[in-house]
Amino acid sequence: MKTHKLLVLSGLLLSATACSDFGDMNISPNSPSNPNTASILTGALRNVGSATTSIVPALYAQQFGDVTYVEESRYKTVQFDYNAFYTGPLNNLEYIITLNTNEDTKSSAAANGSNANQIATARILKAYFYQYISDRWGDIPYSQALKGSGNYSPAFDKQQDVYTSLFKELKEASAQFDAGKTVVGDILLSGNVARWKKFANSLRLIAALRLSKVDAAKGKTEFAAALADGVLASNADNIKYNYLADANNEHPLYNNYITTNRKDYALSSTFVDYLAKTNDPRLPAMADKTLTGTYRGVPYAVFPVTWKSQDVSLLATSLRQQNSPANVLTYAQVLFAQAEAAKLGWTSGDAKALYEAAIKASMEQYGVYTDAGYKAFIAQTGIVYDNAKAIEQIATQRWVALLYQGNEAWSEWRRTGFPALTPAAKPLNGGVEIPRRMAYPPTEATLNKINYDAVQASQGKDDQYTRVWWDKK
Amino acid sequence: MSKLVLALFFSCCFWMTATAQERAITGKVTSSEDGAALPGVSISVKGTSRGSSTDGAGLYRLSVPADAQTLIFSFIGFKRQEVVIGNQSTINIKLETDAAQLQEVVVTALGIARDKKGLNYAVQSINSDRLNIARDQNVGNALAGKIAGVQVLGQSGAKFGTPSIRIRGVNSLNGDDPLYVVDGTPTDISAVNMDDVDQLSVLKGPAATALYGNRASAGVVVITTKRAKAGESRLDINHSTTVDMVGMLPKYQNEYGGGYSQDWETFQFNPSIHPADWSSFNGQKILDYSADESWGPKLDGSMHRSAFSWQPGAAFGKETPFVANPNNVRDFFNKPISNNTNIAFSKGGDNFQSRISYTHIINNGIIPNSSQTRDYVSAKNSITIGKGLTADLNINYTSTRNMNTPADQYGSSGGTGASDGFGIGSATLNGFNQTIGSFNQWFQRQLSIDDLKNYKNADGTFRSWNIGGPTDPKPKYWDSPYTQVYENTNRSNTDRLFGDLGLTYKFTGYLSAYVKVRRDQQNLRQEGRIAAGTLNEGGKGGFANFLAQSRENNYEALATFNKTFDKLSVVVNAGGNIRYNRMEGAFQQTVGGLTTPGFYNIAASKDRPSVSNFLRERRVNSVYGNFSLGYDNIAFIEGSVRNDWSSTLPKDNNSYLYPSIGGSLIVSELLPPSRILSFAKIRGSYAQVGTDVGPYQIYQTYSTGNAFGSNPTQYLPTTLPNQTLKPGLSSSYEGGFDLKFLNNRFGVEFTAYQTDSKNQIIPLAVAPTSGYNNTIINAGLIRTKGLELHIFANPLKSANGLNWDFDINLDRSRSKVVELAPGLTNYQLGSSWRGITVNAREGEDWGLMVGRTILRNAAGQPILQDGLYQYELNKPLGSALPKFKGGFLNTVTYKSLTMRVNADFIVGGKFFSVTRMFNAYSGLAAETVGNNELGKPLRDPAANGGGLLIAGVNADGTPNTTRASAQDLYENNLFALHEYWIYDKTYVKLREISLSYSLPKKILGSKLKSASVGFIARNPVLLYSAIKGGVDISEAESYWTEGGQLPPVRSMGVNIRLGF
Repeated sequence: MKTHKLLVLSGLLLSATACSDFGDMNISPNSPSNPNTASILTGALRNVGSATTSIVPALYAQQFGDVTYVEESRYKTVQFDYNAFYTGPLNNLEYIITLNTNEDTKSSAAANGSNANQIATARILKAYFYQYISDRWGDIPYSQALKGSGNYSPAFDKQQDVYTSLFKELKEASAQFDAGKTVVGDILLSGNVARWKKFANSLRLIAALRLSKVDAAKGKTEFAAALADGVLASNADNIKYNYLADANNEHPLYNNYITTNRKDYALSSTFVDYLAKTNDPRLPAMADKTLTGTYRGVPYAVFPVTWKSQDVSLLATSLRQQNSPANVLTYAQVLFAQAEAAKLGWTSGDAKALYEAAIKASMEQYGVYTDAGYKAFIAQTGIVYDNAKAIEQIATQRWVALLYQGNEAWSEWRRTGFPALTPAAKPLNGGVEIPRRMAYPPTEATLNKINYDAVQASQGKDDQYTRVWWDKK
Repeated sequence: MSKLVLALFFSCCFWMTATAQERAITGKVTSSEDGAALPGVSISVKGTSRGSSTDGAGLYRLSVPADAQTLIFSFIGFKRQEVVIGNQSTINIKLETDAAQLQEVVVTALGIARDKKGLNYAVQSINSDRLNIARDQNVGNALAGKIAGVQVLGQSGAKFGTPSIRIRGVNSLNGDDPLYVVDGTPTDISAVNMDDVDQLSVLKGPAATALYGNRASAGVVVITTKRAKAGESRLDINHSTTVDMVGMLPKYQNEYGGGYSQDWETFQFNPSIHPADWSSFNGQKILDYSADESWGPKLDGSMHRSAFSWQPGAAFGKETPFVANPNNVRDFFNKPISNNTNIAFSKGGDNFQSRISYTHIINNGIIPNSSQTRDYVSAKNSITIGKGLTADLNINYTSTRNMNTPADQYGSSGGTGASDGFGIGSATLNGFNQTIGSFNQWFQRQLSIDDLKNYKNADGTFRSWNIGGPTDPKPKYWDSPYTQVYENTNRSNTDRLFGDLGLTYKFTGYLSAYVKVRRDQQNLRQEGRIAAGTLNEGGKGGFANFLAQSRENNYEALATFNKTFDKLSVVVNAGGNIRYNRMEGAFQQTVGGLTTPGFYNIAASKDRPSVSNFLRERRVNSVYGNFSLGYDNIAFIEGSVRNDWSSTLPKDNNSYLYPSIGGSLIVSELLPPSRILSFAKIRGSYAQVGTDVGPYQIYQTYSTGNAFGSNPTQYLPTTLPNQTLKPGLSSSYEGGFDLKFLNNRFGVEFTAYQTDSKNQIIPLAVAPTSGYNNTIINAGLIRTKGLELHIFANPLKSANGLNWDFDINLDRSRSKVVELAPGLTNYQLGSSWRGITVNAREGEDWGLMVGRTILRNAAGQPILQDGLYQYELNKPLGSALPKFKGGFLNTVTYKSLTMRVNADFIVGGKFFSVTRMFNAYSGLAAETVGNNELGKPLRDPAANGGGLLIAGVNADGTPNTTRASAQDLYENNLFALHEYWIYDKTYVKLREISLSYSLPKKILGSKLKSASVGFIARNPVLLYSAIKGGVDISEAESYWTEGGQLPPVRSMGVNIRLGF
């Protein structure tokens, strides 16, 4: 009898263990369990293209206009989504840093480049995205962001603090590169350390200039430091995101114009008229002709429409091939920044010479530089350097040079107020002026309400007219 | 296998105890009504614990002590009968049906048929005649309004889909579908053949479903299919033919045609860009052909050049009158004939029952070239060998072929989500939405559907009403809808097989056990084509295909003890189950176009094709048991316990146990007999149900994305997995009473319940700035309280034939989010246009919509700017939960005529209508035209006295005096002003009508046993709708938004039934 009981008991025990043991059944066979920092970096870098070519700020800055659906050029959307930056590139870049820092993972991660080089690259890119986000939304989750389960309700950092941290990050990251293995998976700069350093320093240079109105002293210091560390020095240094002749990686306007045949955006009348007025040799390189063979920008924010896409100038065909590159940061930009800094007295540079060099660099960049054409252009009334109007001239020519770098063009317009733009006639966002920031995504109000209320109390109403910190009147 | 050994062991024990007998009695028990053998009748010797029961042929054999006096025959639904034994050795008995009990046999958990009297929880069941009123092909749709507490979230019949069902409202944060169990085998509702359904029971709360375990927290629909009866031999044919048609469309305007501006454009001949022979076109009125809206010139009949007059063909160069085509959308839809034929053979003998059924359904869609064909084959067999060993084999096979299942929702790529449960969301695979996504959102009122039928030019290029312009006559935003239905086709074929193989052994009259193996498996083949030259896939063509299989195996064993000791009845069940699910598939899609147009194959992908495959597996092991005790048919107590082990939970937390307990008291048995109150029962129960989670949500893995050239990409998940998950647990209290009056002609069943769902496992949305959109957590507490009322009555009952029965179902359910997780107060359930969200928010009713509201002053008046609304962001817009809902089911018989009418209704609850918003946006809606109080057109500029004067105040508080044109209002100001497009769900809908005539026996002849012919109608009319037409919220795709739905389908036809 006892043996029977024992048998039954052990049988029960056995079956209980069998009940609860499922082996590896719950480990997904559908996605890798091991991270690959090279692939993660490539994934994060794919966001650089969409960031720099963002169309809405290019509409705000009136480089582009809506062809058929006259909506964003009339400020229809108020709330914009930054969430995909946090859950996408930022979190993935943060993870690259983690994998290259943790003792358990750093040696396996080093297969894709030295730990230091990977961390430095990730930090620069994080800074790039954070500045991009902050320039649009102002105060943003930063120091408490990307903590995963550590903090599901990140508080907002003041833009001033974000900027202070960005200078530090870019400086440290640039100094962090070592002579170790080149980073793998870098589709932007192929792991070229020298180019990454120039990129980081140039980002600092542009960021420093953002402080021109709100904290000129700090701006000046940071500007000088960035310049001294070495910025882009020729068009060959330009940071470009290269699209591919592949439907999954094609140029956004190739997609809009050709793949989907929508042709939603054309160069705006503001932009084309200005280039035409100034006989700008870049016009044919920037714009397509209309069906009738003329250059005509789409009337900006005019509604209802009385034209078709064939009647207005689309972005030049040569700039929107399936595999055309998109500019992220250019030599011309760096020169314009230096020209403005010189004019502000931040540097001892020659503002006029830098201004002209910037125009020349831009013409070279667009492949339309001729010595005669350039000289004639800069000698024109209004273009010729005028010390009294230097800031406006620099800003306006920079606006031209920044075509299809909409976010940067909109930021520089907000900071300088130039070129003088007329707001859309009948805005749809309840305001009358050109937007000066984007409102937070609805998730902040629904998922992070306490901090959302706090940031409204400190920064101001969450609309498109509260100015970000550096956008001082 | 070990269970079988155990069973044999028990059987040996039994043989040893059952030896000291003195006489044997045999006999057959039949029904007094039709003489059919009655299986399962329990026979006991009065005053002893000895008993037996009849076999499948109604035969029994019982050994009784020599001094036994009386036998008691009892069977659910029949009157109990006592028979004096005397010296008889054969006792044949006819049992009389008990009308009071007849409807009360319900199938409960694990397929156990129970007398409803003894249940302590709410179960409502419905027989096939009331379920299958109008031959709806889907059990889900047919349930609407027929069971208290069941909500059918149907979709348009044009999609051939299956509805979602919610039992007792929102019983979890996300709201889940119930478990469908057919003859004990869990399967999908779409696999159920209506003609095979005998009875359907809805087990609503945890007390009823506890034995079904972790999948039953949203309720269980238990379906029992028809089986042959002993001594019966039947051949039944059931055929219906229906005409389907569009039930309803939005109200369109017919005053203005295509364009963005009322001003005519004229053709300006330009020799540098136009062919020379176009010079004669100079000055002709032309439209903005690239416009896909209807804000254009007045439809005044003036001669104009249509979009087609610029495309090759006979119409080229011709001017046509600019007139409205009021029925253009309606004309697109077909009025197809659909057929549904079932033939069933059944025969039962002493030791076997067999039923074979075949159904063929051709369901032609209202959208041209769309159809669904289904074949159902089922066989149900049972063979009894010797004394107590029964083998059962049930097989159900369904083959479904869908041709061009239409998409719906917003825009040309809307509504293309996966429809098959595998989650592949490719529009190329599932079909683009160039039909309803155009008609109700982006279309024009002057278009003639005949013009659109000619969708292809002789050179193979495609035509459209929406082109770039005279010199660019290619489709702009829209192809012709006919291009979609004839060129960009999709198809899916599903083969589904489910059923079980089982052995049951009856040791004695009171002890039996079974082992069963159940399987439900399906194979899916799906493909989608996009023709080169049409708009999608970059105009370069595309192809996608998807192959998938799923399988669920259940290995089940159960022992049942069922015995009555004098006045005490005892039922004990104990068993176990192993469930294994496996789902795998491979999806492929071309990228960048087809290298060879017309060659629809992955090999034709221009760029590296997108290819992926997947496998999902899970297992749940369970043991369970229950008991029920009844005292003298007056008082009942029941309890159960179940333990599950889930492979999907963390190893340390994968075991969970949950009990239930309940009781009921037949109060009427304690009261003196009453002519008024025939029956009264009170009942109460408490139960818990555990839940688990889907596979692979514990450990972190990385997703792979599109490669950049030769560089692969990898991403962190945006949902954070969780290694500390616990099983979810819901606890439920329920109580109620059942009353019957006037000899059971009138009755009321009432139930009140409260369910607390705790630790539910959900992908909680968190602030994405944390790096993650969602985190898998055990979330707080959601409390659902509800009331259910079922009233049934037989107000007219007469011997000469006029009878009227009706059922009224009413229920109310409110779900409140008591708490979520520390620091989190809001769980976003969904979102739509421009930031409108639906949420579970702490302290609020579940389903709170949040979005843009009209800016108002303290007095509630809109504060306007330039005569137009202003708005505020992120404001509450009300809950999506209805206040209450229900149904009204009638049966009227007069002699050989039977009429059944079923209606259902919802009162309260909000929803957001995308159709209404875009219908107005694009100037298609009737509300965008007409005159203002000055007699001037709403569409005219305010400067000319036109436009609308919106009631409201200016910023300074003065009344608004500025008019706004309809175009400024609808195309801009009201777009995504969510408050304006929120409506009450309230509706009353006549769902089904049938009127049938049974042919008298005398004209049927000798072969035909029965014959009837009838008229049937499904969806005949929406009697009342708060949104006032255009949109049928009873067929929307979600509980909170109508996202651009296909029109409802109305079906009418005839039904013929023959019995041989």
